[in-house]
Amino acid sequence: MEYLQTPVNNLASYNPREDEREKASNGYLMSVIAVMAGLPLPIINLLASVLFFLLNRKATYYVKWHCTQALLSQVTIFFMNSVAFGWTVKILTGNAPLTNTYLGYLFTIIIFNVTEIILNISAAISVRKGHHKEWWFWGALTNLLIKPGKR
Amino acid sequence: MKKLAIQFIVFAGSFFLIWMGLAQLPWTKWLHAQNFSAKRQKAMSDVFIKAYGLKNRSISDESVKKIVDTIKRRICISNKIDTATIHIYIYQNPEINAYSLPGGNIMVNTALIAQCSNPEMLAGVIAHEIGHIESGHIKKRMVKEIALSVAMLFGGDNLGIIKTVLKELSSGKFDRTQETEADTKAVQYLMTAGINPLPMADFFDKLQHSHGDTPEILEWLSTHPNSKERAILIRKLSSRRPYPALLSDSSWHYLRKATTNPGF
Repeated sequence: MEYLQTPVNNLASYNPREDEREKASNGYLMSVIAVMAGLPLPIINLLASVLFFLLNRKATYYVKWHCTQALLSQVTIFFMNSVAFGWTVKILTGNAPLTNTYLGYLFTIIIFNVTEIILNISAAISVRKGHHKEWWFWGALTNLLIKPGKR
Repeated sequence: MKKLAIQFIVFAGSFFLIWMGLAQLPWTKWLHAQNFSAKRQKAMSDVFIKAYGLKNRSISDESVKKIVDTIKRRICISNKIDTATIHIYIYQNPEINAYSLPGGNIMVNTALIAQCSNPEMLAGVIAHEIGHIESGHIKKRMVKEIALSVAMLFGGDNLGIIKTVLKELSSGKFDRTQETEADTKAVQYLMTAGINPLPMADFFDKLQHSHGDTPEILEWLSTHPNSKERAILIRKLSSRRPYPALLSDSSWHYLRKATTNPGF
């Protein structure tokens, strides 16, 4: 479905339509659900976010921006979880010892995963209300990747 | 861009700081996890033996066990390998195969013993499997297989994962480099133990040339590629000198008879 829309240059002052709010909010919710479903296998949550991002690649700037921010946070968590996954398999098969360094890493990524879930839920709620939510680091990265356009 | 780079450095820095900070805490002591790896491996090893035992009948003849143990001890002691870490089991199975499982377990099928013309051939096969264990090939394959099977584990199919990993391990699909490494180690082990390594090469030739058309042999050859090249390598590495007999004729004949005609 095509929409006629004026160029969006400032997301903070932009008032998104109802369908945009819903789609952008779903981008974050998709991440939360996928993280919960895919925690043991780090690839699942990333795949879910990539899929949602691809489905919305032709959406408006507002929707695309938030889907990208959700995806980028997922990519970061994916790399952290993948290291933990590989390390755990090595320990389970006796190829690596169980050390404080490993357990320290495990608890660190638990902190980051939980933080990411909280951030996602908070962003999903804010975006649903029409408020723009720009995260530290991921927000700046998204601004670099997604430029405002006519859509 | 500069702002982004600074934010990235702060983000990565805080991650490493939290990690290094948490790593200072004595988690392993708190969780009583010092012996986790050893316990886990033992448990895993028991599961595999149990699973294999469900499909195959093991040879329980004490004299057979003693003869095979003699070969194992000869190889291990001479090469400073802890004999307690290697366990050999003989199973009644028509497939010409021998392979290693996690936990230093070597499974030898009776059909393979039937193919051996002398005890040195069997010693060659055992030395080859010990070579895989000592080179850590089993652990490397386990990492791969388990990683691939984790999806099944989370699907609730615990028996399925064991079966899949067992099937893969028993298929003997080591890569070419690993096979060469195990062969090289086997020749070294045999020579150090004063066992003639040349029959090991003869074993490859025998399987390839004499019976290459039977399905059982084809199965073995398909999982152990380049048998001809491997026989050449073994001959190249072997020193030609007189070797004492590994077993007495009576012991060897007893082993062959007991494994080919169980309950004789």
